[in-house]
Amino acid sequence: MKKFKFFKITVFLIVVTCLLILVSNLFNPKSPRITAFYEEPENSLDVILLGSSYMANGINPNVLWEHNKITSYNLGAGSQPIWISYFFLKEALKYQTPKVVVLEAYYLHDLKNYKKYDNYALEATNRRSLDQLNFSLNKIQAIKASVPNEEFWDYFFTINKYHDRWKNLVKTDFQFNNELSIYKGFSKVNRTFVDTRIEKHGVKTEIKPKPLHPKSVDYLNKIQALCREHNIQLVLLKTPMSQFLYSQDHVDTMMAIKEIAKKGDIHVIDFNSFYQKIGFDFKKHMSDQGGHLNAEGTELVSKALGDRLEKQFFQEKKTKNSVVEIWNGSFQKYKKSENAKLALSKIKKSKTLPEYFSYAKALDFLVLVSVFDDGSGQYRNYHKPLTEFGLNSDLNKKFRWSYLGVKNNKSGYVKEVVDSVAIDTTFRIGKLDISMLSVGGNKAGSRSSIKINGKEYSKNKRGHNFVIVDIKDETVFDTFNVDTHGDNKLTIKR
Amino acid sequence: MLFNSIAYLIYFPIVVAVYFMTPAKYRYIWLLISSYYFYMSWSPKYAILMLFSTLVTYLSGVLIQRSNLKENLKKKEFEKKLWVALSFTINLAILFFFKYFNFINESFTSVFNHFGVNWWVPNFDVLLPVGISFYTFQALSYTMDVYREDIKAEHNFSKYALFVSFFPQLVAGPIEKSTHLLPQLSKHYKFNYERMKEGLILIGWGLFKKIVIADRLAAFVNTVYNNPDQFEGFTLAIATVFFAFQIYCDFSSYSDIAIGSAKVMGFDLMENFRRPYFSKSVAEFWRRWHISLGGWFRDYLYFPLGGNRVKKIIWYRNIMIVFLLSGLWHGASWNFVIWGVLHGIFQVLSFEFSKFNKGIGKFLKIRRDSFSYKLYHVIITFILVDFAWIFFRANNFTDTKYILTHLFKFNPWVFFDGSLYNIGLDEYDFKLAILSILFLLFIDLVQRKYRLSDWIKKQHIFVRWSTYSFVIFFMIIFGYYGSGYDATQFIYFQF
Repeated sequence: MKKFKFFKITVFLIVVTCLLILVSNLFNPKSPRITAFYEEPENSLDVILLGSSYMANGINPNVLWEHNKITSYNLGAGSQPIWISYFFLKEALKYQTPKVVVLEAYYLHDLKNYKKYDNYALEATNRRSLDQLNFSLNKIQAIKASVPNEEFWDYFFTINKYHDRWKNLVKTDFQFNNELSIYKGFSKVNRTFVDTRIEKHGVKTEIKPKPLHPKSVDYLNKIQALCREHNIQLVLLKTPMSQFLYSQDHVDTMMAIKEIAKKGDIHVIDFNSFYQKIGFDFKKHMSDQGGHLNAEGTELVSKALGDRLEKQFFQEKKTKNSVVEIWNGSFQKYKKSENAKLALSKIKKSKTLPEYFSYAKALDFLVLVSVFDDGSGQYRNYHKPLTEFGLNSDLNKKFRWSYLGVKNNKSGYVKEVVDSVAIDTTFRIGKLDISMLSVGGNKAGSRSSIKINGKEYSKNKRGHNFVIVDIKDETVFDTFNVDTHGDNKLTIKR
Repeated sequence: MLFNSIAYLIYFPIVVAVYFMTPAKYRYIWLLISSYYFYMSWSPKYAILMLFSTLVTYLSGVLIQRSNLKENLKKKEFEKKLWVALSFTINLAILFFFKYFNFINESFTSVFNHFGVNWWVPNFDVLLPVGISFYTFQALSYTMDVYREDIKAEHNFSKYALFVSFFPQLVAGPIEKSTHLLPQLSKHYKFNYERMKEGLILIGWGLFKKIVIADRLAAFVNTVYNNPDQFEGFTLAIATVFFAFQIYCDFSSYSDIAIGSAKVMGFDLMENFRRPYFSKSVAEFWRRWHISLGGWFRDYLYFPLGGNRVKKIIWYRNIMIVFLLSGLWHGASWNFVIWGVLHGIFQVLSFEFSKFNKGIGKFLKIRRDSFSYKLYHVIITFILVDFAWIFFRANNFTDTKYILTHLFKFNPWVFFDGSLYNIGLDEYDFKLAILSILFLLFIDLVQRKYRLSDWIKKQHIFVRWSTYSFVIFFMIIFGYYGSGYDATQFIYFQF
């Protein structure tokens, strides 16, 4: 009886613990950029990329795959100290057998923040990295190394920190499983900062090595030992940063980093010493004055890094077919997503219909067309962009006929109706009730109507009236009109 | 360490496990070590103070016992009284020094300054040792009980030291009487699953009151009471009502956890709170609020003064003395003195007018056993008690004065314009606070007739486990603790 009671207590405690893990996961603010790492197929990565934000938005694993067929994952996180990078590497080595580890070197620097917080990083910095690790002995050690003792439990039981989020839980908080990431940890910045500080302050030369942060150096040694143990080549990387040219402090820091690397047989790639050779330009390729790269900058640097890594370490590389397949598939999705992002950023700036449709092709849109007093039949070129987009638009050589067109870019579905009389159609897609009407003007009047859930969106003006629906969130993305009487440039009018 | 800390969550199971694994003979030693560890986790040096008090009262007990053997009656009485007086003097002197010296010094300073006399003695910069008022009273009760021959002196010093320092009730009661707790320390309790469950349920309920209710209400109350001049009318009233529930939950939760913790190990501690806000008079309130302290004052002060079996005027004097000292016991400041005096006055007046009240009741033919009559009394009592809490909680006299003069401003719009949601609690937390007070009253009401733990015990295992898990996770999620999640702190990206 007594034994049975103890068994019951044990079972109850196990149930509560499981629930606690579940609830903690629910309340943890999710950062799939890092946690998706756990979804990578085991032993499929050639390179692990570690470090701070300079790594996270500096090196793009998809560029390394595209040009060099190197598989990698970017585990960089904002301000990540070297000691957390060490535990990230330990975590990564549980699942992967990389040949090379690249560590962004900036945070070896003797940073003022660390001094301020007694050799610890800020809480937000720690949270960004530590809270993303799966629970394990490694995580416990990472917490111990990264936060003061009195804060330990706060990181151990993350619910202690986040339980207050019960007021703000959203749908994504309830999604516990990560999908395989197509960005592989990389996050891109799209703005440009014109960095002219080198011209202003001049280029400095090395004087004497500046001491690095002792705790960082200590953990660099640990990373090195870990790499040696696993037969991994360690590479220290410094992304282009004008500070490392014009600031004496930074120049001397780099000198110290190079000295340490030399002693420890660590390979160093310092982009600041050869950035011109790869066509890098501080006026074009930076995103802020803090030294982060923009989209084009990261493309250049990633490509150069890939080339160097390939030349140095991956001459005779054979990737398993299954991995190649996964990466090819993932790369396709990445390209598609990138194209869509590009298209989305440019589509609303398009002035003409052909330009608009050249971007619309890359996006999951539902395009609805309804004609009012049509004159397009007189000019062949009016229909070219439509046919290229996948609509037949049989109005050629017709005058003032009615026309309705529907094209679902995601499913490929096309529906077109052409007639000399008034035509209408109603259908439903997702939560949207759509009813369309076109009266071309041949027999009776002129009218265009495109109603979604009872609301009129058609411009109801002469020519082609367009309504563009974003299928993903089922919202109207755009609505405009193109006059088909005499405007052979097909200008978009909103 | 605090009861509502992760440290206690680890400490307590270890203490219990080792306790039941240790041979019965030596268990008190383990508990003594654990209790001192518990106390020293606050400040090790004050453990010496407690040890000293323990030693003094221990010796007083032994000496009184020895005097009992004297044949000369006069000498016997003289010696016994001497030992009691010594024990009381030394212990109260320590208490006085640590708790009241600065208060009295400052009071003297202001009085002398008022008359233009320069009086200046520096204050002592000492932190109040945790629980000094509690263990001193408990230790003194022992001296008195031995003197009255209600209990024999304990000759085993360690066992006696455990009586003074027993960790569940060490720092905030219940203040046990030696006749109740001391004999239990020599008993051998076998592990009992059902008893453990009852203890844990009590601990759970205590934690719930502390983490979910008291600490959430505190956020509102502190915001208002730390800057009262920014609020008026209903906001002050709400903060005052909130404080009534905050202090009840805070204090009673500590007692619940203490009683529950002791129960797991087999010990029976006395009940300390019995639904005080359902009292129908202030006198009844004091029989239900902090029962162990009330009992102490009754047994060792009120009765020796003659209780109510004296002339009316002496009786009223006795009441006033008890409540004045009770006020002082709660804290060394005039706020507490006034609070105590106010409670004394409430009672004296209610006794004085009781005949008159009865007369009116008879004249108007009010049925005294009707629900509405009882409810009326409960509400009036709550209002009086809550009014007195203003003096208890306000930080100083200026604040008290401000609150009393601005409490009755009529500003009902605060209920509608959302301003209540900017005072320490947001809308979600404020509504949860109201709901949790209602829940507390509901549970208290139910407990009049049924014990919650009995109800739970009768249920199917699925219902029981679900209830336990629900309570645990309700506390984890809706508890008011931790450094708080500030989304902006995480949005910002420091490079």
